[in-house]
Amino acid sequence: MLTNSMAAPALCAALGTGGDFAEIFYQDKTGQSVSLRDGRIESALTQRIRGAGVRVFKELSCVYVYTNDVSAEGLLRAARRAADAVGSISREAAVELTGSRAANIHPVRALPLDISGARKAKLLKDACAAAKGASARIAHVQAALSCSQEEVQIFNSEGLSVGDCRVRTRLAVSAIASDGRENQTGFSGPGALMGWELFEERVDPEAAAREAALRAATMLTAKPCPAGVMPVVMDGGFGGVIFHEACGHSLEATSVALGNSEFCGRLGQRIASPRVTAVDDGTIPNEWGSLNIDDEGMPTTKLTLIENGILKNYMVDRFNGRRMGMPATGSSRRQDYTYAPTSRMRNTYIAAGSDDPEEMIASVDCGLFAKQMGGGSVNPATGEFNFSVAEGYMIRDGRIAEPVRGATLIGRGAEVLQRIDRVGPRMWMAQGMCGSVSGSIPTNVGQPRIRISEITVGGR
Amino acid sequence: MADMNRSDFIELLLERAKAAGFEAAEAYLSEGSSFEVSVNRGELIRYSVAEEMNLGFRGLYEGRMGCASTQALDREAVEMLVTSARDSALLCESEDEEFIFEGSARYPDFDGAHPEIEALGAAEKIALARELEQRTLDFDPRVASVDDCALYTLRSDLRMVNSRGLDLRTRRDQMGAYVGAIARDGDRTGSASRDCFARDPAELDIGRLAREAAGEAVAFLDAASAPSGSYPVLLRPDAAAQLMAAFGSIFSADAAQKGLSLLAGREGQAVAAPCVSIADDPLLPQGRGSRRFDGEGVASRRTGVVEDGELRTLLHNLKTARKQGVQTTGNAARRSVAGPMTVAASNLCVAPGSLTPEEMRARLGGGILVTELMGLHSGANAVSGDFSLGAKGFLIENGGLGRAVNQITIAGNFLELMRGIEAVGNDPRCGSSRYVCPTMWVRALSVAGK
Repeated sequence: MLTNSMAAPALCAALGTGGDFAEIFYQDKTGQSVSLRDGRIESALTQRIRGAGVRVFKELSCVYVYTNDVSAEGLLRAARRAADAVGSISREAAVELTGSRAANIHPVRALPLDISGARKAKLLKDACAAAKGASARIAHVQAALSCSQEEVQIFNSEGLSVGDCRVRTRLAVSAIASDGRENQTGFSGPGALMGWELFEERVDPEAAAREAALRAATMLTAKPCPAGVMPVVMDGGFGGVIFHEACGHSLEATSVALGNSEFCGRLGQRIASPRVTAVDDGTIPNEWGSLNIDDEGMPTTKLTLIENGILKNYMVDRFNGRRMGMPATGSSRRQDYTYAPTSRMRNTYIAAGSDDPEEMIASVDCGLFAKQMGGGSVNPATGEFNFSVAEGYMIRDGRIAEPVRGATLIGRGAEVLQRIDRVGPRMWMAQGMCGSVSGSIPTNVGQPRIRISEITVGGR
Repeated sequence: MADMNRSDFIELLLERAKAAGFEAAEAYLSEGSSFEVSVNRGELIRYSVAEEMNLGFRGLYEGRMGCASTQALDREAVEMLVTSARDSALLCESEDEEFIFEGSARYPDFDGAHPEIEALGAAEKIALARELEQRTLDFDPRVASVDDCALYTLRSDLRMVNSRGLDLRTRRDQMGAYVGAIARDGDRTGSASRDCFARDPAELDIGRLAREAAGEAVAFLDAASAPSGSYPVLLRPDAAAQLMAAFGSIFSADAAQKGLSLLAGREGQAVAAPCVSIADDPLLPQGRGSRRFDGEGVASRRTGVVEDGELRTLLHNLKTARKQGVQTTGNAARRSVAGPMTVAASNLCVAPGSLTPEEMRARLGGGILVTELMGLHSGANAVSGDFSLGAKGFLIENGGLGRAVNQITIAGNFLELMRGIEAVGNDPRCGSSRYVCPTMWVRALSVAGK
């Protein structure tokens, strides 16, 4: 851990050549993962990362230097390297730090690194047995338990000195079904910003494993999805990845500040169907994408992005906020100290509506029901997105019909948001890892069941 | 607690491991420095300088492998590594034989050090990034901005020391640049990005990068979807490399032995069209994945994987080779500095054919040239071989390039695609990928569009 008396001189040194803002981020994180394959523990790995990053702004330029040397001298050296890159003038700077600990709104009961290897192994074995028992077609099961405990501290030249502890636990089960000729996979990965109590309060590991197994077995019997433009009903939970890709990334200041998003200059305008209200919320207790403070040290927030179709807010970090003339929104994040932070999503969802979940299928003659989504990606400049359907079914004459595989949905964010013509009454979320400029971070996606009146479905 | 000198730390670590009952132990120290600058309208919107160190430890305890890693090199870390690795070994139940390698008889004299990259000053690198942005913007008045315009250099030093006498060192210098161009015309937007990778500053062709990114962004202003159907497809070298990378694990014996590869047990069989040959070449001078030795310290050598369509071998590390009764191909890869050990290609190269891309277009007549694939991390499944991906490219009409195409998907199965290759081009391109491909002509793929 760093002390104020180590951080303050480094901040002064960082400002010594004309920078107008300096920040230090310190991280000490121990992660552990235990992996199982087909009933046997295959590996267990403990990793500790520890380092610090110094960030300096001068007007609209930003310099970032990071190091593993977190001694007082190491920090000073990193700060001077940053200052050297900022300018060549020499200037005296003074920084006074007042320390605090972030208020903890995400209580943890059982630190996961304190749980014995044997208990972790048993949980994985029980999950594996449940997956194998779910279908005779399951040929292989891989499961992994990942947990981490992390101390972070943020100091800045405005006097901020704040620390926090983050604890995350996640189970990932991957099942492979085979009929001897073909293989299909199913995945389930529940997790939270909490400790081992995850498996007592929220997640039944065996149920999660069965879900992965049944998905793989179902997809083994599925025929390739037909290609074309059709209505698509997307179920809740991980279905929310459509909003994450089609819109969320394009509302991050990373794209907006430089004019590289299709939603630039659209605040206060209608960008989505009036049925759509979308929220990015870091405050939900113990959720996978939640925080106490963001990686700039600001308390996390609940931010309404779209309200009844009207664009209300962008996600803004301190640096891009300068260019945009907007305050930061407490959603600045990074994978670890090797990345400078930027605006990112936390728990992002389309809020519950009032449409009947059955009617939205019953009123489709021919379309696709995407029960479970895979991942996706987007180009914010053009809004072009794509994502894959992990478990899909045709809808024929208002009924869910045969399973189909290999479906991909593509489109443009601005178009698809206008085509959401039904939003169901029950919202739920699912966990994912989101990759972008500041690395790979835990995020939740979520939505109720929704319908898109037409979208291009890729298939064969 | 204060950090220790690297060599003292490693010596103490191996000593403590022996005292704790490890039969063999290994330290893997990775140290690197990196520089990156990204400009926008000439301003430095990202300027990052770093030094990083990571120490991985693995050891054999009661015949099983345990591993742990740290970035803190204090005395507390020695105990953490030894205890965590022992706990991890005791938890493992795999009955496969594990190896700490004593070293190869000879190592190739591959040298990854390029001091001229390290010698480049920050001001020169900033000037190169600004030049890349300016040339991209100047290419055409419709190029409105750059998305990310960056230049980076990386240096990494690796040391591998084990209790069986191995002590290897290697250094690698690399640099690269990338630019995303955004073109606007009225309410239409086109975008394209390009990256390049070099082992020598003189090889970095900023002009070509700018020209290609800007030219393609402008071409995509007129892009539209294409009617759904089955089309013959040319995969441009960069798109072919994207697809090959997504399915790279099917050549891994580790994946095969775990039931995760469609090529398991197919050695000696035809798995691709006769015009397809694929080799793993860790000594390729310009290769991104070039190296002297693999993750276990085994000397690097070239391996023919597919020859004239026939699968000759999968890629192996010591463990998978022992299991199958063959020699390792030197493809051990660490998932992290500590392990666990898996298998990965170094540079996987599809051998070039004799046709130019123009000749291939002329023979194909009509179809689609795919220049970029999207959603590979989710829409390509290496276990089933199925893919369904967002794509961009150009129509091929009467043997020539037609208008740009976007908002389409292509779908198929990787093994079917490999069997349906009509020809490969003479234009392999060594970009920033470890997969090196020429243009590949695929007989037919399903396209979804309008």
